[in-house]
Amino acid sequence: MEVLAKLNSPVMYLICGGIVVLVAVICMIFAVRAYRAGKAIGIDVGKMKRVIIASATFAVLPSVGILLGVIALSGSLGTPWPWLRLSVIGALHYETQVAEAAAESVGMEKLSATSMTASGFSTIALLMSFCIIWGMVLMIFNGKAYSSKLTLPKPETVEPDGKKKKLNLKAFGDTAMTAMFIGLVSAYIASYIGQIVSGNGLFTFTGDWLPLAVACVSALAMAGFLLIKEKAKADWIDSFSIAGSMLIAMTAAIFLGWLKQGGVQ
Amino acid sequence: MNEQEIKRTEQYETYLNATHKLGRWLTVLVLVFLLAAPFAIGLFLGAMPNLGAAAKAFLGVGLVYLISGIVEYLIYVPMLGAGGSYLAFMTGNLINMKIPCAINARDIVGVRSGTPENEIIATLSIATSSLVTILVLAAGVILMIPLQPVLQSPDLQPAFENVVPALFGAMACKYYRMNRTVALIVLACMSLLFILVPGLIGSTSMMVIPSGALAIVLAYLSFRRQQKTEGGEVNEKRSIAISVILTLLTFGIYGIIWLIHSVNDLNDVAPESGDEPGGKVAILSIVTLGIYGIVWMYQAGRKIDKMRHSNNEPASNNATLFLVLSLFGLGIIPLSLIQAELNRSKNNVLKSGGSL
Repeated sequence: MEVLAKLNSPVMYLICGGIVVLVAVICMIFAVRAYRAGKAIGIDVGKMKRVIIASATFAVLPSVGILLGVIALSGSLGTPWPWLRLSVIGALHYETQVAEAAAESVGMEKLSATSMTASGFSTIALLMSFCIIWGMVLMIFNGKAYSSKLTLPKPETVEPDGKKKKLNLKAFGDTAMTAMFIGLVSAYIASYIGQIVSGNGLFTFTGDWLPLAVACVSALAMAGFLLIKEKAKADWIDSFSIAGSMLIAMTAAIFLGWLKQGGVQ
Repeated sequence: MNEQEIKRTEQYETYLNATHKLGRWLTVLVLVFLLAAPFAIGLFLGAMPNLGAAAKAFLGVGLVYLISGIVEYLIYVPMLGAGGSYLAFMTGNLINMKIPCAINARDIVGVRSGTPENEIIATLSIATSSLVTILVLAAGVILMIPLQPVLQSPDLQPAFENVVPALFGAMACKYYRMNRTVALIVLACMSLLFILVPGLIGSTSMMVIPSGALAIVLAYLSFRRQQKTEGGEVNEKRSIAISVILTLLTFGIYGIIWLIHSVNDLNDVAPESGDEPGGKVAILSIVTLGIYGIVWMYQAGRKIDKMRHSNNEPASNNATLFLVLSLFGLGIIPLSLIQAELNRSKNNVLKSGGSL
């Protein structure tokens, strides 16, 4: 917990806040340049103002959702670091998962403030920073060449028999990413199941049930959010559903933890 | 084009070139700061990052995000244009905010993807949404400062210690709905693995790789079957590039399926007595630790040489080539060459008016 106090110190706010300010300045530079270029090439100024207002209002709710993610991570990583990661470059599911993997690699049983060490945190921070740089790296080396095409790779080829075959690359890209996330999630959920069944010996069913119970509560909460979204046609719920489900499950973890201490196996 | 249009085109080209220059340099700057931050924090905490541990963790979870980073780049850059892309990859939260925000902005003003208007609109949209996020989070963090002692209370620690299960429960609900069959199979296989080998629980981040590989293979098979059911125009030719990429991504698992299809297709195109079905060849290869597979590669090369000879094509010695490559563990190359021959033979059948 002493480490956590340091992670919330003014020095941390300075390091993290400095980078956030840098990115904010870059956003303003790009916005001003785009606006001036838009005027020069004859885009209606009214249209550009509508885009700015629409994007600002669109971003408010998801941003509050992201703030909930900062709160969720602040208990184990302090506030400044999740603030930096979720303001700039990151996304909640990525930051959480990579932090957990890094915690595992430095010998921590799980991502938590009680077992956090100084070396553990700096390793976690490095991995969180490194694993998500690929979009930026590709833009540096290939951005100009690739974006100059302006369209997706040709979706059709003409076969020798004259028939057109649609490759539908984008569709498989979406399917592949969904499959990847299914694989990612399944590895962790399966580890919780394995922990219960064989955590204290093969097929003893005496392992720690708390992680699976918390995951189940979160899944139920998410199902609830999705149901409300479908019934009330409230698409804005998407901005809160993951962070909201997490906070509900984390609250449940406190009560489930008391149950566990009370000796429920 | 009139004079005004020519001038606007030139101004746009100048803007675009400058955007790329600025975008590259600023991206490098942000990258340097982001990667330096953990070391600066290490100096402050008195403990630098453990590079060995970070490398080990990267081999697990990092590879997943390397692949998703490449896929996101390929799919989103054409939508966002140059300026939008530089900003989007710098500021993150792509799928949950930047992309929907940019598409919403585009739809509101009615611009089409791939036009100069889209370039400007996407940049404005992403810059604005990023600034709003930064401001909202900054305000939230300032308001949270007086709550720090509460957040650090021991009573709340069980909540923060279970942030990861809380995340994955929500994600399971969201993603499992999109492909229930694949999710069930993968979850069942991985659960069985962890139950039978509980020692792997401590390396869950590494187990993400085989889990993801299995999910991708199953999803691809399902995708192809769906295309055949819907299309009718999809022929039986197999893309060598996709097959190679999938084999590499799945650490060889897809290669087994590819082998099965190649064996069956070659049996159809050039039948001989004694041909074994693809499944049997695959099982025998696994059971004999690859020896049967090497023998089959030699026989496949011999079949292809015969086919070429009967078509009066230039002589080749694929049998020896495939044998040597397989002996050196490069079986993916003869598999690709076999697939090329199979695709070529299917082309010839179609050209001659036949059907597959």
